[in-house]
Amino acid sequence: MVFVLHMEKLALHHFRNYKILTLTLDRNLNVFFGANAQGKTNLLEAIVFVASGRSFRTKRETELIRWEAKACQVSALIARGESTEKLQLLLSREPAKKTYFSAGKPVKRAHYLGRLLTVLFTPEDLAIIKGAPQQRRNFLDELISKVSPVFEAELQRYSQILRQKNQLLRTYGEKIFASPELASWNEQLARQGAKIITRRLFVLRRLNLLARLAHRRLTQGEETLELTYHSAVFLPEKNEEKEIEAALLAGMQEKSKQETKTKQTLVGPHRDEILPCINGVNARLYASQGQQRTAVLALKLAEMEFLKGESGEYPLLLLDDVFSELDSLRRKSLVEAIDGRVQTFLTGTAAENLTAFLPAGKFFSIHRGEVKLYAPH
Amino acid sequence: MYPEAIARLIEALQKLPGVGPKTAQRLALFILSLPREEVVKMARAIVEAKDKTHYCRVCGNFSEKDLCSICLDKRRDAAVICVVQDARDIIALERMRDYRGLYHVLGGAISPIDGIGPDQLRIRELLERLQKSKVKEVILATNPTVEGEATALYLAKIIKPLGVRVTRLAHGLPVGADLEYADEVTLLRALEGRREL
Repeated sequence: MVFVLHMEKLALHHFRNYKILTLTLDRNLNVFFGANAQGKTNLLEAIVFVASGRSFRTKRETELIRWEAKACQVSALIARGESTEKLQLLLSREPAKKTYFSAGKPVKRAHYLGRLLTVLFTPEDLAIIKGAPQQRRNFLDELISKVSPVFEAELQRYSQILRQKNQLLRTYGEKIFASPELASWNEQLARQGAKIITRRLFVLRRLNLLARLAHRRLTQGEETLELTYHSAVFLPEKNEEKEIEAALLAGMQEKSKQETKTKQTLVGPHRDEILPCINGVNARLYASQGQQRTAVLALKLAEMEFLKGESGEYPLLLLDDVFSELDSLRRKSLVEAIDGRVQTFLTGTAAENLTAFLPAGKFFSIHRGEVKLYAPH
Repeated sequence: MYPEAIARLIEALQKLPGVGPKTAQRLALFILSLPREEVVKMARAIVEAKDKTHYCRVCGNFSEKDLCSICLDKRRDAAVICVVQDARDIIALERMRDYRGLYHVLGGAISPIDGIGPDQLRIRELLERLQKSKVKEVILATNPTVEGEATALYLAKIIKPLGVRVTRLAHGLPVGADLEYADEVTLLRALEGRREL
């Protein structure tokens, strides 16, 4: 039997509505079910939090701490075959500070992140297909950040340069046109922007292959999904960083008059679009709700396979309230893709609606922050 | 709480960078525990440093006279100027005792968000120096931040047309340390700047 990376135990202390909770998990499937607002999603949030150091629901992280507590902690016991690893994340309220622990010892954030990867699928993810370009850029950038520790820093540096240049445009407008000061910001922005676009194109090529495959399976070969990268400038065929940098710089110079007039930066990765097309047609605008759902599912499955390819291990898959919304064909394809390979966590309102389609696993009923093991049937 | 004189001292100490109310209180009480002559010496040192320290007319370095000791040193190579953001960067570079050229302090870096453009920095003074004396090389040693980099790119743009060689400090790994301790971004920059052997 191939060993699967999985979470053996999850422990919460003063996290959201949980005072103290320890769960022994199934290596294949874990279902959290119950009425709304009982704390199902809080469990998925805890898993993402201990894995990535972030909440997918709030930017104000102190909200994660139970109201009367000073700090919260999430611990996870991770198993890889015979070996286990304990990850812990402590978040204090005053001052708001996170401390990362590995094997009980505090470690640097950079050394902690990336040890446990997750793929989350929520109803809001439909926005990856339907939403504004920024949603798709974020999807791709977050995916790259999961496997590349430097990418996040590169993105941050890009937006710092962008903020400075935009301020320059706002302060001086057309007076700054053709000045060496603007040129020096453009030069730096093009250099940093090229790093980002190069990386995006590289990952997108791999993701496209995997998404097309997953999508074909989901539509029984009837539809082809493709993500195409669109930039304000013509990107050279070979996607060499140096060439992209030159193209960006030329584009910025060309649009410089317009930029100083509108006082914003019109060229760069912050304006690029990653367009999803089904059978060559813009899926954002013309696909049906059902087609869009299938496309998102295909992207999530592709994300899983991509992370497997990059890190050698399948990530944990978290499905928040989406399983019940899939039709039987898609449920079947999803289960086929994950059963026995990917440890999965899913939430839903009623166990009965879920068991019929799901492989063996553990069912937990959630009621007002009380978690009980439940035997279906 | 405290008598007025002590309260005033605490308030004054709080103006120092990195000193909050608690540290200020600790420092104030420590000062009170010192013998009077020690306290007078300390107070005098502060006032004297402020009164006697000026900036070098040419390079902007700290100096007690019109020109700083580096600009006055005839043994130094006047054909090379190293451009830095702050006078304290000179102290750092001088510690290596290997650089024999002169310096030029900009007094900051270009940052539109903070309202700092080329006119707010000592760039005109630098260009005057380049025109007046026979400088062959300008080394740009601004910080590797977004602002420092923008300043370096800007200077390169306006200095190169004058026929002066312009160079920039390299990004790299800390010498003497193990590769495994370098952070990822530093490693990536070092990889990008790799050279042929």
